[in-house]
Amino acid sequence: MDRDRPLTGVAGLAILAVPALFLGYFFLYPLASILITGLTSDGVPDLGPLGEIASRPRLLGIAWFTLWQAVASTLLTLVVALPATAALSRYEFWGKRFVRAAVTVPFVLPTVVVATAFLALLGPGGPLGLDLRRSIWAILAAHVFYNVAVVVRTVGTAWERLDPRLEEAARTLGATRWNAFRAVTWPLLRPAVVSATSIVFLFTFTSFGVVLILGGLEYATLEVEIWRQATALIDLPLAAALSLLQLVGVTGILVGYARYQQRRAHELPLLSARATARRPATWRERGFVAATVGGLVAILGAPLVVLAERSLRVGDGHGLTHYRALAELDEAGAAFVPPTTAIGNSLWFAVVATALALAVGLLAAAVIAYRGGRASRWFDALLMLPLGTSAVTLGFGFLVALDAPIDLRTSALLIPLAHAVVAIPFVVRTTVPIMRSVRHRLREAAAVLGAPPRAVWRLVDLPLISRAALVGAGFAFAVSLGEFGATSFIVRPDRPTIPIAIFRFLGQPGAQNLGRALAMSTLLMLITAGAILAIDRLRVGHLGEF
Amino acid sequence: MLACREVTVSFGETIAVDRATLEVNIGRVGGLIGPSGCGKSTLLRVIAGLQRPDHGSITWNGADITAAPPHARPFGLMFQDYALFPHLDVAANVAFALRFSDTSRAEANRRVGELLDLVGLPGYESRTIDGLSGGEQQRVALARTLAPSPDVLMLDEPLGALDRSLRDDLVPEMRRIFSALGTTALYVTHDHDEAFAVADGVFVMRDGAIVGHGSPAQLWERPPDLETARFLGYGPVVAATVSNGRLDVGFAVAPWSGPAGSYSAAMRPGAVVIDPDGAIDAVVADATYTKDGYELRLEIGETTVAVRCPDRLPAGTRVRAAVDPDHIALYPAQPSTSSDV
Repeated sequence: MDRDRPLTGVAGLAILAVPALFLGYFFLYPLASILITGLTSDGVPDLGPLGEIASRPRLLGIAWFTLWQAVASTLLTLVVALPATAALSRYEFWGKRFVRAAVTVPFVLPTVVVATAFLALLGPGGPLGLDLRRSIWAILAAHVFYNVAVVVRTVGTAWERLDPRLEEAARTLGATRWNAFRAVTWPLLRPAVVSATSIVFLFTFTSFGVVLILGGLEYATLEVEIWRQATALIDLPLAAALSLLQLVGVTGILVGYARYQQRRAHELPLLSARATARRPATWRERGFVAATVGGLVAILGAPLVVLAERSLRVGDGHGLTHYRALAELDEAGAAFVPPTTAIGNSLWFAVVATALALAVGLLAAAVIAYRGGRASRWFDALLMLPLGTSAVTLGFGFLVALDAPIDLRTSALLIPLAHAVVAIPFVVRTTVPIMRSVRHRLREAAAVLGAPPRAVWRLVDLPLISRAALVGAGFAFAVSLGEFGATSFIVRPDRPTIPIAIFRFLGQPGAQNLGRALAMSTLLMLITAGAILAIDRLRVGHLGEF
Repeated sequence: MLACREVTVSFGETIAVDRATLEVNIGRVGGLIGPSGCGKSTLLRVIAGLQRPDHGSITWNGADITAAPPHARPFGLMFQDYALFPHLDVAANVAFALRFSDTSRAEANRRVGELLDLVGLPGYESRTIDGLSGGEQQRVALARTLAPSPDVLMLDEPLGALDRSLRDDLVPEMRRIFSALGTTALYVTHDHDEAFAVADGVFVMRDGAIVGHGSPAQLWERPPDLETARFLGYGPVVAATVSNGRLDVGFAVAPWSGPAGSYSAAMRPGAVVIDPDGAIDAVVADATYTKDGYELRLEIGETTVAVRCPDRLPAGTRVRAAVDPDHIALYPAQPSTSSDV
């Protein structure tokens, strides 16, 4: 038996079947249902809804806005993140480890929390004395805040492994600092930058919670409009047609990115894992590090600090009034249950979703890592799709599809199932590289040292994989806690999650409701940040892709 | 003339380069040798402008260039692992420096062809870096460094990553290229044989400081201090006395002209030779085959010395040996380490 491909044969097929069936039923089937809803009426092909989009200037305007705000957000994110990435990759300084870990926190914060934080920062009563609610600036700022981590992580990993002597060689060959960057560093970093840019573009193109909360009625992305058409106006065919438009956009980005990746596959940059960072030597370098990293910390820290401060603000003083109010049933009817019940719901859903995502994700990862071949590459791509597909589309698909053959729409499992679909790519991406890395050398070393195959698996594979699985579980848990887009479609009024409860409070007038939204957002922020900082401690080196 | 004066570099508490002073005349090849980690590479980086010295100056033909940025210095530096640009092909690597001068494309292509001929890789223009062997990468790196015709060529362990036989081939090759171009060069290596083969004058560095310099012959025949003697391959070192024009190394006596006193005597290969008429009584400890003949380890009392011999004498053979004082260097006696206990 081929030791490196242990999952061929019948056992391999059986293991492949579980994740394939799960994703087929809970991901592909809902998407297909949307396709059918959008393109047929009473079983006959009907392109009416698509034509309706083209004939309504408002909808065309929304499509145009979705595109340009994504471009603007992506460019702004790069402008803010790249200089700080340079400082974090090339220089050694006090507090660097903390900054690197802290940068990841915004990325996993629930959209609702980020939107609420920017509402606190840029809304009335904020420390800047501005009211940028319902302005494009608040949306762009929140998108930058959200996605800086993608650039710092993706480009930073490549940058710090780039041999600094390449740039030095260019300098001794007559290149100025700028020319050396342009001719050597930039071309070598380009694959990482393109990769980060595509991810950021994808995220901002499908932005939902941020735009819904900060954009008001003036600004809507396709994502927001799908939700509005489906839930407020109950125009399902039009919502499905908009989802199709959205899917086309997302697929376009993913295909373009895959093409690019393929083209550069033969061009392997010479990476060395040596420590490449050094202390800044001149005042100019110290100034650069202080300005870029300081600026980054300010941009990322300000909204969160303001959110926490305002959640404690009562009248002119500070206190825990808003937090105490979370346990009370609201008379005005903003929520049908006390907010503490929403917290309980969220934690329960997160536990179930994490268990589901782990079970399915680990089986899928094993197939990808151990089976190899063309089928497993396709499977790999299929597993990444939920990451690119918008959450709203998924929620909408659940709503349309999951009444038959099994009616799950009233099941308590519906929300954890949706969350698990969203979380599976995270589990797969964190475990596959680890599984692949233990495959060859370590296993051979253990075998040469006299360990039989079963013992090798137990002593070498299992400990490393369980750590990676824990990291994946942490991500899954955080993703489930913060999931808003899909949940907003399938949530039942009497079983809200934390993000749903926050959204409802924000929709109600009055300082007391805002206070509760702020308090709940702060709590959710603390739970998620805690989960992420814990993950950072469990990480095995730089392996894993998040 | 390239000159470093009193150059000092420290990283935190560690002093990497300690008041290093060296000079290389135009058209000459200077060697800089020393054990790994002695500060050679850091000194090169200072000369190239990649590292600011804490103190000291670098001058080129009398002009102080200590503060000049690397790209403004007329120096070329070939890096230890070559640092070839993986995203560019061989031609683009070699032509890299020409992008920053006003060289036309045709002129650059001509120059690349010329340099690849010089380093023995004609026709390699469109090869990728990944596809080159170690020796080929070394040659491309040399061609790239030579492309802008630097006034001074600095090479940091240029053959360090190559295996022995390739190194033996490339040493005369480097020598040929240097003399063909008449270039001024500073050649850094931890391998003294390599430095002696390539350089006109050699500087010895230890713990960040330049501890001696001279022509290869001068250094080899009279190393500046005992540590350098050991580094160059002297051994064993025995306690010796000089009196009445005679050198006494404990197991033998030889004529010696020099002041009387107690010394440490460092013996290089050839200090002890097998001689049927010799006064030394020695026992063969073991024999190792080398390319032409055998290297025997002889036990003479407490001391073990290596001698060359065309025949393989079995261990335990008793032989007579003599001392050749021309292969011994004397240094002030070192306090015996065993008496410290």
